[in-house]
Amino acid sequence: MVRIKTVLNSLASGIALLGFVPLFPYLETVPRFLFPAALAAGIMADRKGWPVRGRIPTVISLFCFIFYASQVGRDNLVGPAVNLLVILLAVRMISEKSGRNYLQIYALSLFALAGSSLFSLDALFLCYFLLMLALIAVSLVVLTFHSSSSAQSVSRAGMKRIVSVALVMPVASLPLILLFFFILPRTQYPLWNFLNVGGAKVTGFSEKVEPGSAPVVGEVRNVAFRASCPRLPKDQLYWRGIVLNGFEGGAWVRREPPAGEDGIAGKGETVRQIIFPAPGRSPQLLALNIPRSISGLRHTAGPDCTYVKRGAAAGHEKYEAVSALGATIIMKGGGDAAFYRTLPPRLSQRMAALGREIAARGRDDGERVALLVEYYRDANLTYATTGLPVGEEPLDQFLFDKKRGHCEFFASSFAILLRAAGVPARLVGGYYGGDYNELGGYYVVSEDMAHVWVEAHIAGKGWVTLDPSAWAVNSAAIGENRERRAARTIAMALDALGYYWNMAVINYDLERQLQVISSAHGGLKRLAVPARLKRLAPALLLLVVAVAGSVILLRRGRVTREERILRAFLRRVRREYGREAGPATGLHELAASLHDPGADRFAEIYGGALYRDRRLTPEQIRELKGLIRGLHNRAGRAIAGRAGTIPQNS
Amino acid sequence: MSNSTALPKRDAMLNVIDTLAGHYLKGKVRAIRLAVSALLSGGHILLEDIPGLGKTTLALALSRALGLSFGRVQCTSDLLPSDITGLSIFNREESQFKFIPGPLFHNVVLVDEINRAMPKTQSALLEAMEERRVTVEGVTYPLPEPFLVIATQNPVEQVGTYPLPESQMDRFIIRTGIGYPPEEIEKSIIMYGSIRDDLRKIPPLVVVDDILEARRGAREQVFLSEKVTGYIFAIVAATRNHPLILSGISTRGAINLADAARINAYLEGRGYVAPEDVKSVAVPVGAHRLILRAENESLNKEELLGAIVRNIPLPLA
Repeated sequence: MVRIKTVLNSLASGIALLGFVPLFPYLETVPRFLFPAALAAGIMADRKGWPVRGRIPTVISLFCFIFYASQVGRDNLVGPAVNLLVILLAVRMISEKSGRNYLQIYALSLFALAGSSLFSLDALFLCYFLLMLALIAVSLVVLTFHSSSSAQSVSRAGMKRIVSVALVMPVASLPLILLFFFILPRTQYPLWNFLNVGGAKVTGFSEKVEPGSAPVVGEVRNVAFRASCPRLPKDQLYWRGIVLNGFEGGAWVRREPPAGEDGIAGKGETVRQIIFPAPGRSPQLLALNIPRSISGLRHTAGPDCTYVKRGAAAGHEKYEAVSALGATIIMKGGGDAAFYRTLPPRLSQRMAALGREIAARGRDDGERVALLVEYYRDANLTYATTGLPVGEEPLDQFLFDKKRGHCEFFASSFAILLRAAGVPARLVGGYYGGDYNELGGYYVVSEDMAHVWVEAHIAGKGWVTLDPSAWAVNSAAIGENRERRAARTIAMALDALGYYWNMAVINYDLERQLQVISSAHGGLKRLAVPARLKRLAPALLLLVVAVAGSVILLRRGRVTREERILRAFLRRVRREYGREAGPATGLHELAASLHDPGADRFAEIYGGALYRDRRLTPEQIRELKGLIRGLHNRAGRAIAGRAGTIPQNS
Repeated sequence: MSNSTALPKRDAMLNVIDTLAGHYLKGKVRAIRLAVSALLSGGHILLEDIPGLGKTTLALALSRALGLSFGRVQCTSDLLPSDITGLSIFNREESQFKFIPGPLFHNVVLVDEINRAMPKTQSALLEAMEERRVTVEGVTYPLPEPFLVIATQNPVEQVGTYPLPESQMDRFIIRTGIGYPPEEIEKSIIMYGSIRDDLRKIPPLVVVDDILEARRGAREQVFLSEKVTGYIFAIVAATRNHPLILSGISTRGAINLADAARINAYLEGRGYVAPEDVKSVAVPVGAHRLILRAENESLNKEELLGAIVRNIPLPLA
C-alpha cells in the first residue's frame, strides 16, 4: 500500500526542485541555500510528522516580500522577483501542507521555471518543462484523492493506474503544445539578458589589447559562437573580428582607418560558413580569416575586412560568411603608411634599438618582416597565461627577460617592433582554433580561444597575416583542447543538442520551415527512378500488399471464428447487462443468470459445438450472430451500470 | 442439436427427484440429486452430517421412489463382516448349508454410522462396493444391479469410532452433507411430525430397467470433449500442486469427476459435458479425496477445493 500523502509530498518536492534548479545560477546566495535547506527540513518534518504550523511562514513570506519589493527598480525587476519566488517556495516546502498549499507549490514552481526562461534559452528548459508538466498532471490527480481523505492509502497497482491515467493528460496536450509552437511569436534571445545587455561583461575577445595589466589571465569557457562549416586544418582557423590599429596610452585600440583605404581579400580557398554568435556579444561579426562578404544580417563593412553589426539586438541570430583562406588583403585604394607606422607613446630602449637594427639590416619591408620572424623563432619565447610580465615595460620584459607571455604579448610586441622597423603593421583580434562537433558539423569557439595576431603590409603583396604566437617554443599547445576524451564526447553531444535547439526552436521561423519542406518536395521530384524499378514497382507493391495481407490473415487465424463469436457475445452481454464474465464463469452459467432465452440458446448452440469437439457450421454462426444482435436487457439498462459479478456456485 | 427427449429416461429421473424433493424430502433437493447421480454413475455416496437431519429418511424414500429393494446396516464396533454379507446356515431337513444373504443383497443399502464399524467389517463392505459381489465360504454371489450404498457418518462424534482411511474415502464417488432445512420447511416438519410412515406409501416411480437404461444412456450418449477433459485435468493438477495440500485428487478421483459431470449433464438434458457440469460436481466429488498437510488440517476441504476451482479458467473457446 502506498500512502497518498507520501506520494503527494514526494511529487511536490520534485516539482519544487524542477522550479528551483533552472533558476539556481541566477539566484542570490540566501535563496540559493535556503531552498535546499527548506526542502530537506520539509521532507524530515513530513516524515516525523512535525510540520511548521501557524502564522510563522506567513510572517516570513511577508517580510521577504517587503525586502525584495524594496529592491525592485526599473533596471532590476526580474532578479528580486525570482529570488522572492524561490523564498516563497522554500517557505511553502517547510510549512504544513494542505490541499491548497500543494496547489501553491505547483504554481510557484511553474512561475520559477517560467522565470528561468527570462535568463536562459537553454535546451534543458524543454526537459524541465515536460517533466514538470507530467509531474503536475499526476499530482493534480493524486490531489483529488487527498482532498477526499488525507490518510488514504492506495495499492501499488492502483497507484500505477492513477499515474498512467494522469500521464494521458500531458500526452493529450502535446498536439496543442505543437500548435502553439507554430503560431506563437517567440523571442530569439533571453529577455532578461537582452534588457541587461549593457551590464554584461565581455570576456576573452576584447576591443582593447593591453598586455601586462595583470599577472594571470583567467580563462572562461563560455561559447563565443558556433560556425557551421567543413572541417579545416587547425592553422586555418583564424576567426577575424577586429583590427586594432592605434594606441591609447599603452593599449592597442581601434581608430578609424585613414580615409580612402579600401582593402579586399585576395586569392585563397573559398569557404562558406554559417555563424551563430552567442547572445550578448560584441557587435563585431566574426568570420574565418579573411572574410570576403557577410550576408544575412545588417552590417557595416570596414576597409580592413572587418564587419560590424548595425542595430541593437544581440542574440541568437546567424549570418553567412564567405572567406578566402590564407589570402592576403589587397589594397585597392588609399593606404596611409604613416598611420600604420605610428609608435606607442612609450617605447623601451631595447625595443627601439631592435627596431632600428632590423630597419637597417633589411633592404625592404619583406626582408625586415623575415628578419623579425627569424628573431622571434630564435628568441625561445614561451606561451603562458601565468607568471606574466607586469610593470612599466611589460613588452620589454617579455622579449628580453621573462620570455613568457600570451598572444597579446607576442602580437603586440611584434607589431610594435615592425612599426619601429618602419613596416606598416596592425593587430587583428579574434579567435584561433575551435572544437569541431562531428555530430552537428560545426565548430564551437569558446572565449578562451580569443586570440590576437599581426598583419604587416608588404608592398606588392598587401596585408600579410603573421601569428607571432606560432613561434613560441610550445606553440602547439595554443588553442588545444584540454579536456579528456570521454568528457569531450559528452560535451560535444550536449553542445550539438543545444545547437539544434537553437536552430529548430529558438531560431524557428515559419517561412524557413516552409522553405525546407518545399525544397524537400523539389528534391523528391528530381529524384530519378531507374526505369527497371519503375516497371517493377507494381509487382513490388503487390508483394508488399500480399505480405501485409497474409500477416493480417495469420494474426486473425490465431483467433478462431469461435473465439470471435464468443468475444462478441461477451461484449454484448457486458453492454446490455453490465455483467463482467470472469474466466471461471461458464457460458451456460452466464446464460442462466441472464434469464434471456437468446443467451440460453446461444450457450446451447455454442457449447453444443465446442464441447462436442466440433467446429461451428456457417448456419450456426449466422444464427449465433443473430442471437447476439437480439440480446436485449428487457429489465432496463438502469442496472447495467452497476456491474455485478455472477455468483459462483461451487 | 440434442434436446432432453433424446436422452433416455431423463424425464423419469427428473420426475423422481422432483417428486421426492417436492413432496417428501423438502429442502433436500441437492442431496437427492447427488444421490441419484451416484446411483446413475454406478458409485456410492457418503453422507456426512450430524444425526437427525434425515439421512435415513433420504435413503428410504429414494429406494421406495426408485422401486428398489432396501437394506440397512447399523454399524457398531462388534459388527462382523458376515453380519452384512450373510452367512450359510445348516438346513437340517435338507442336510446341507444354505446361504442366507445379508443386508448387502439389496439395491439400496444404508450403512449407518460406517465409522463405528471395525476396520475388518469396513473393508469387507468397501470390497463389496467395489467388486459388486460377495464371496462367502468360497462361493461368489453377485450383488443386485443397480447397487447403491448410502453410507453415513457423524463428523462431530469421534469417540469410539474407526474413521475411514483416506484410501477408502476414495471409494465413494460423492461425499456430501445434508444440512439443516430452510426455516419455513423446518417449521412445517416440526408441525406435521416425522414422515417416516408416509414413506411406505411412496409409489415406485420407475422400474429397475428404467434406471439401467438411464445409466446406459448417460454413459453412451453424453459426449465428453477434449476441452472438458482438459478442464478436469486442470482441476486435478491444481489440487496436486497446491501448497496447502499434501495429496490431491487421484486418477480414480478424476474418472469419478468425469462420470459425475456426465450424469449432471444428463440431468441437465445436455448431450455433452459442459465445464459447468464439472464445476458444479467438483466439490462433492473431489473434496473428500484431498489430504491436507498436517499444519492445515483444520481447513475446510470443501471451501479449499471450491476456491481452487474458482481460479481455474473454463475452456470457453
